[in-house]
Amino acid sequence: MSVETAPLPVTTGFEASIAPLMQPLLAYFTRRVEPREESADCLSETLVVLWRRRDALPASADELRAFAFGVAKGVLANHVRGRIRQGALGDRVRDEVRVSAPSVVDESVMDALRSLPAKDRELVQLIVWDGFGVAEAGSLLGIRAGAARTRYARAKERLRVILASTDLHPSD
Amino acid sequence: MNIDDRILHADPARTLDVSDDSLARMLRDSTSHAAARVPASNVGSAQARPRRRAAWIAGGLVAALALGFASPAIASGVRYLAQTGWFGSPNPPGVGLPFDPSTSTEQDSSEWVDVKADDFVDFAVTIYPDYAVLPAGVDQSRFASDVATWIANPVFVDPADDTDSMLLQTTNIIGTFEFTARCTWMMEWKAAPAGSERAEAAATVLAESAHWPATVSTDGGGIVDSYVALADAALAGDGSLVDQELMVNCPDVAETAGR
Repeated sequence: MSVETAPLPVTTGFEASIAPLMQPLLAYFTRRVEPREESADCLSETLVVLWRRRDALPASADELRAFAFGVAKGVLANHVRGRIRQGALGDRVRDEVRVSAPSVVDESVMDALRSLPAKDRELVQLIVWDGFGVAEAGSLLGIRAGAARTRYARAKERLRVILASTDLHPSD
Repeated sequence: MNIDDRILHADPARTLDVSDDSLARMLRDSTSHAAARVPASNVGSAQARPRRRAAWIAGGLVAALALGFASPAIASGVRYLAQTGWFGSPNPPGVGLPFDPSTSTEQDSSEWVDVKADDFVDFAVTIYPDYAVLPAGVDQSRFASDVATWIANPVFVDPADDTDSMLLQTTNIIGTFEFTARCTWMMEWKAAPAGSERAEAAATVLAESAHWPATVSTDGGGIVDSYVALADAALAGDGSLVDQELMVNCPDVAETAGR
């Protein structure tokens, strides 16, 4: 049985700015957080930090996205250190994440990704999964644009070699 | 299938299906709760506290004395209402007061303190750890008072919450002093010219602060290591971790306390 809920009131400027980032940020955490439903807590914590820093939010959409993902990266680090606690704010989102069917995992690709150095792996994921440009993803990771391009090309070549080998010689 | 397509196909969030409506509500709720935070400008202001809690705190004190719980403050004749006389875990049996706190760590034997007590700030200032040094221009006693006032304010104001007490162990309070002091050194490092003696001095304190006692004793895993990594990066001139910590974790009060 569905529960009737009142329509949302008019949004504030802050909410209007952040709303387009909600799905991308949730996806960012869902890709990196275990168990995946804790991505809701990470997203909630990210929103609190963004609200606290609202006076410093960039005006342009691209810069705001980069800023928000910079916050998300810090919140993810907190999650890894056990500094994010479950709150009630994300209950509904947590439930929806929990029941979302997990993707059919291509283990050979995941293994290949795991074989990369951590920074290279994150660079590839930010570009391919999160949709950042190479320079933007590099900036998020503290890597200069030129170096990011080099590392990205090298990482993809390594993935190509590993997957070609795996496809020729599957483990089972 | 090319390599990009294969990685894209392996995206763990590819089948994520969360409604925009749920996310809009989460954004609204999170914003509302964040807006209920006590603003930084309130730091240092006088706190109006209901008087009725004093009765049960006094009752608890009587009960604690009757049960024979040791309190150094009692022994020295100095006593604050904020002090409960309860140390560690479990709670003293038979006291029957209206809360059931858990310890901050399994090994923490420090005293439980009521942060909603009228004299909490006065008490908290007395336990500020002298080793948690502060940059030039930050007055330690005012810093301690401002941070204690910030601790005394609930993070979120819940209109339905009419409880009279909020208990913390002194280890947590000292840990918050350490944490906030560490933030001031991150700001000091950022304010100093790159590679200067001032920057090096700030980074050195950051390195030492990773091993401050309450930081170490409350580390559930990875906290000390993360501060060591932050300080190492700062010593090497890399401010990325400092920026991240300041943006995500350091409270606004660190910018104003004691100044």
